[in-house]
Amino acid sequence: MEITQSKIFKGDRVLWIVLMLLSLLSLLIVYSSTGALAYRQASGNTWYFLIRQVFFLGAGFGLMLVMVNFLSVRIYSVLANLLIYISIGLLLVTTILKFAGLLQGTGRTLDLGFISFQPAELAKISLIMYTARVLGKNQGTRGQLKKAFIKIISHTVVICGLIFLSNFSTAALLFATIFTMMFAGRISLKYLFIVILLGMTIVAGAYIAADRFPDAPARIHTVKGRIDRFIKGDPNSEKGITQADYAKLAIYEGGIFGKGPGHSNVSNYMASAYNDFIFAIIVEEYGLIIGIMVMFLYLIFFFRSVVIVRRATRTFPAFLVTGLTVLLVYQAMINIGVSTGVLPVTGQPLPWISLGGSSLLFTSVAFGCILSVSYQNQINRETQKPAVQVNMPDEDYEMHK
Amino acid sequence: MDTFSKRNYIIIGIFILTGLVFVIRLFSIQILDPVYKVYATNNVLREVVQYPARGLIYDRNDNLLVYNKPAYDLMITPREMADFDTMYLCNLLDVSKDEIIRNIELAKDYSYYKPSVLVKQIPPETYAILQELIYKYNGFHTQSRTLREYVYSAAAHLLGYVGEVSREDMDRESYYSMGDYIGQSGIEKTYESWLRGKKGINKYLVDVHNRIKTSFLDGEENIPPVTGSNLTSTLDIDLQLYAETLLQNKRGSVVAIEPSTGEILALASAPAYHPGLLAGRIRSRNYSMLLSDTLKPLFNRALQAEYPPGSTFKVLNVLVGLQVGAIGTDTYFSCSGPASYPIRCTHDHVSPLNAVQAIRESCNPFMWNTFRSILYKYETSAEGYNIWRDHVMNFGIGRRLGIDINGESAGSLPNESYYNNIYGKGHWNAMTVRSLAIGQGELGITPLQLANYAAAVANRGYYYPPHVIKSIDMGEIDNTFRIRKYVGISTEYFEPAVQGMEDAVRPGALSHIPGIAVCGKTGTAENPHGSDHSVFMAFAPKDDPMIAISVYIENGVWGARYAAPIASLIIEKYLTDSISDNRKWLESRMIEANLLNPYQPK
Ligand SMILES: [Zn+2]
Repeated sequence: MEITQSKIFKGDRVLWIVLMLLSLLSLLIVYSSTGALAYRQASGNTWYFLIRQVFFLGAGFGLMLVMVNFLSVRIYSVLANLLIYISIGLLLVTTILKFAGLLQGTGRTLDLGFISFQPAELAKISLIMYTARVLGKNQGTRGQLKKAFIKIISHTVVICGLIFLSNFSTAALLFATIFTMMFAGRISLKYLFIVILLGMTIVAGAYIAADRFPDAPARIHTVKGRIDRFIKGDPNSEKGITQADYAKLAIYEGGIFGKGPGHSNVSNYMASAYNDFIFAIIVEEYGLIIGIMVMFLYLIFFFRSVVIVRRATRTFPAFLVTGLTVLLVYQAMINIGVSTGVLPVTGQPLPWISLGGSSLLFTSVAFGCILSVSYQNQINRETQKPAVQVNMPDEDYEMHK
Repeated sequence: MDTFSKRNYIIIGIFILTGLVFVIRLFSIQILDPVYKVYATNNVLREVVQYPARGLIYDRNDNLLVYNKPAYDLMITPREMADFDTMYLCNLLDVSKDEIIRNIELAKDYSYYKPSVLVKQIPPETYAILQELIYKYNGFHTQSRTLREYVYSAAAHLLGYVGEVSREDMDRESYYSMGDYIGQSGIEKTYESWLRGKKGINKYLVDVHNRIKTSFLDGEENIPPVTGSNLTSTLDIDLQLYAETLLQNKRGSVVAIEPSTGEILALASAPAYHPGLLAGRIRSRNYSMLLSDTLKPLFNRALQAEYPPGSTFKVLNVLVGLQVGAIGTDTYFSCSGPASYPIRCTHDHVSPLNAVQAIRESCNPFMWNTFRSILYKYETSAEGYNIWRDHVMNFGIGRRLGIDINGESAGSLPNESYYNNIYGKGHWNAMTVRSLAIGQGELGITPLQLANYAAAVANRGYYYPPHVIKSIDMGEIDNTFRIRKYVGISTEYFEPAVQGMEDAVRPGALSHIPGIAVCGKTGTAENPHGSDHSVFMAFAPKDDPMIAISVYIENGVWGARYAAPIASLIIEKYLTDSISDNRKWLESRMIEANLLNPYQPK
């Protein structure tokens, strides 16, 4: 695919267009939700959420432009080692503060005074960078791959373990992403099977522990409750319609063409209509066609990333793009899956569409990385036509030797 | 590149498959799943909040005091609203056109698709007419509410009132939403969580013309409201009515307590207002009217006014003196009448005299000597003062008693540092603070505290925290109301004090009731803004106290002139259920007295 290069919007142009379409949809949805949300949360200030979303989307685009125009991909490889330990540190601090009772709420957010964010968001990106770096450096021999596996899995267990204490679904999402990266990174299937077995044991262990030890951390009970609900049906469903039912009702009522912007009725009965079930509200207001188009936007993003990975001449950028893409697409799949009742209810936003705060900025960092890699590919193609087949070990590896 | 291996095609395949699953799922929800056809798209699901009836309030003899009457709110849903005959609606509901237009704008601001209140609290008569027209107006419907209604025009301060929740209330408790009612004062406020019950929800499907078609899922999802718990108040409504009658055209208060339980029998503050004034649509108008009234009817004098206790305090000083051993029952002090120093005595009586006689005669020099002996018994005046002050505080003076209605004032009982600040540490003594000996000076005591102090004397050494709720349907009153508080004075010392109080109400006094042993003490509270206040505290009968009482009559000049006779009438009414014929003249004199002019002849 030949695409001419823009002066500022460097990198894959299709990806930029996908992001702009998603932004447009995001603003429409946030605008139509303002009636309900603003009243509940911002004392009736109907413009508050729209302005906030415009601000964060603008900041996101700004961040991506800076990354594409001024930052080299190599920086992320260097940063990976630093960021992963910062993430672990922040997660530890949050966990300790939570158990010391100093944090309010779910214990997911760290407030640094001038900014508050979820350390898990930073941890997601840094663990992916780290994994991409380790995989990239160790593609040579079986021994190297084994070493890579051990390094990756140990860091993953620590980070996912810490995230699990406050947020099961994010921990599972990150774990699945790293697992997919290792799969793509030619880690022996034997090791991967062991990981699957261990993972299942832990989840089953938590499920049983919740039964045996009623005093176990609340998070374990949440997990058990969700599994029970998904398998046996929500005990609340006898008393009233669950949010999941309303989501399906919203999809049903949306029909092919939808009810029109701002005309969602079902969202009035749902507490997290504009986060966890936003896809259902999109279908209710804009119809099945737009709903499927949203899915296609994510698939287009996915396929553009496949192209970027294929064109990448080095291993670190290839694995980085793989990891970040898989993370975001998984996230989208979870939201759509929850809305359509394919998956158990859990809180993952629809990337770039859901009402965003600092998490939107982390998402834009992920997109920024992907766009930077695609820009790098384009430069490489121009300067070294035809594409040079690089032998292992690659340049990154030598660079850090 | 060669890392793009077979495995990557597996990943791509999985993603495409997932996408396909979702698309199929979406189609199946829209086309194949029959469950959602129940909610035909033309039908709108409407949740109608079912407001529970608030709990009723009874008096101690099961007389109904507060109940509910139906009222209706007219609601609009802006998105469903079509043009309507505004003028007709305004005339029917007696609201201005501007108000309707403004409320419609507010409703639109709030939400297009959720109903908002257009006109509140429509009485049943109007509702009957409205109900016949409402189907003509698209987007309108009604919801039923209840309003408080009062059987008696009495006890407004104590019962309190309900009003709409504020934003703070909603932030504090998620139970409340816009337009809900909440107890704002009195019993309604303290016992809100019992009285309010629990809201329910009815779900209906309504058609495009806003007519309710069916109950949603045959009403399976409806949550019925739970009626609030009924309360039994400690109040004796007959006594309360009588106290309020006696207080008419006066400023003042009556607090009557059953000493054996701490239950409030009557709690009246004058001037009062009809409790119904603060219920319903007229509430805000009446509230501002009451607020601007110069007689301050909203001010609950019984709990909030702080007066010097005057001579009623002398009983307490004697008790403390006996307890710390500063005086004995055989201690005699002499009184030189008007020539006494440093506090004159205006009462003509025997001299020297003992504690019993001193209380009977309300002798100032005796009290001064007692007070001085208490403070000088210890190394420093400050130490003596602190011990005296602790004893006073044990009677519930200078702090809140924790009555179960809001607004209670702590009164004032200065601590050591207060005097240190004025005179310097070590530069003050009994002489400096001598007016405390006779209940004047910096002392401030509420009528509730005075009645509680009378109850503690009646019980010879303890009291139960005063409270206004006797029992809760399916609930328990706060246990602290059932625990005795000892005041730290030995029972034996109460005998001379009680004897003095009985002697003070001697035959011939207006407060004397033939056949009933009333123990009482008059007082006169200095008032710089007009005539002095008339004070009386008492309990009766002497040996088996059934009632302890405090009466304050502002500008009543002498304790014996108004407060004592009024208290004796209330005691007589409570104990014998009527007023004897030879005291009827006193009753009518008290009822007819008008003391609204703050300057009364001596
Ligand atoms: Zn005297």
